[in-house]
Amino acid sequence: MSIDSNNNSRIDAVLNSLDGMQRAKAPDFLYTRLQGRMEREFDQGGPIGRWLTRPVLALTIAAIILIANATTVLKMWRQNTASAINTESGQVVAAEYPAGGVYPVYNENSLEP
Amino acid sequence: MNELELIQQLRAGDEGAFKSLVANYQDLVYNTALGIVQNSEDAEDVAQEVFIQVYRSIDQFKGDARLSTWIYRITTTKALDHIRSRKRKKRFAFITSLFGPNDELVHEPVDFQHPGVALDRKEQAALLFRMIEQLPENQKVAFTLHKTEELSYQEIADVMQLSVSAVESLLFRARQNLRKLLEKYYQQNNPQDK
Repeated sequence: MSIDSNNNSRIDAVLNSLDGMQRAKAPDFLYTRLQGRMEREFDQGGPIGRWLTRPVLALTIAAIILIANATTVLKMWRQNTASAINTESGQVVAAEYPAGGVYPVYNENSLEP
Repeated sequence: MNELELIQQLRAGDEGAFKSLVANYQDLVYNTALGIVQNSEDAEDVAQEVFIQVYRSIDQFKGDARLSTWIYRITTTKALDHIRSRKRKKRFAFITSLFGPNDELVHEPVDFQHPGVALDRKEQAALLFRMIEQLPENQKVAFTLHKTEELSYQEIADVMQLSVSAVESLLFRARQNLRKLLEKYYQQNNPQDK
C-alpha cells in the first residue's frame, strides 16, 4: 500500500469515526441545578442585574463619579480665580481712569499755549 | 401531552410543563452543546442557559417550526456564544500570564473524548473533534448536527435557517477543510510519509 493511500485511509477512518455514535446523556440532577440557577438569576434581576452588581463595575462607576466631582471642583476653582483676577484688574483700571475725572493724557486744556 | 399543549402550558407558566420539557429535551440539548463546546462542564452550563432562554422566550415561539428545531437553534447559538466567551477569557489569561509569577497558560485544552463514541474509535474521534474546533462556526455547527445528532440536511437547514443546498455546500466544505487539516496533521506527525 502506498503512503498516500495509507494516509487517505487513515483520514477516512478519522472522518467516519463519529458514525453511529450514541447520544451523550445529560448529567443527573440537571433540572435541580437548573432550578437553583433560575432562582438565583431571577432573584438578582437576571444577567443584567448580576452584571450591574459586579465589583469591577461598581468600582469603575465610583471612580467615574470621583473624577467628575474632582473636575467640577477644579473648574469652579479656576473660574473663581479668573473672576478674582478680573475684579482686581478692574479696580486698577478704575483707579487709573476714575469716572468723571480728568485724564491728564487727554487734558486738551493743558496743551493749549 | 402533545407539543401544542406543552407550549400552551409553558406560556401559562406551568412548572410541571417546564419540568416535562427539560426531561424531554435535556439529552438533545446537552449532546448538541457537548458536540460544539467539547467540554462536559461547559455543555451543562450551556444546557442550563438554553432552558432558561426557552422559559423566558416561549411567548416568542411562533410555532412555524417544530419545538425541537427552535431548541436546537437556541442551543447552537448559546454554544457558539460560550466558545466566543471562552476564547476571550483565554486571551485575557494569556495576557495576565505574561505579567504573572509563572508563565503557564490557564485553561490549557486537552483532547475531548465524547462519551457516545465506541471504544475502538475514541482516539480517532478525539482527533476529529480537535480538527472540528478549527472549522468556521457555520461549518462546525452543520457538521456537528449532522454527525452527533444525525440530523438530515433538511433538519439542519431548518435549524440554521438556510436552504438545503446551502447546508450541502457547508457540509462539503467542512469535509474538505477537515481533510486538509488531517493531511497536515499526519504530515507533521509522520515526517517519513512525505
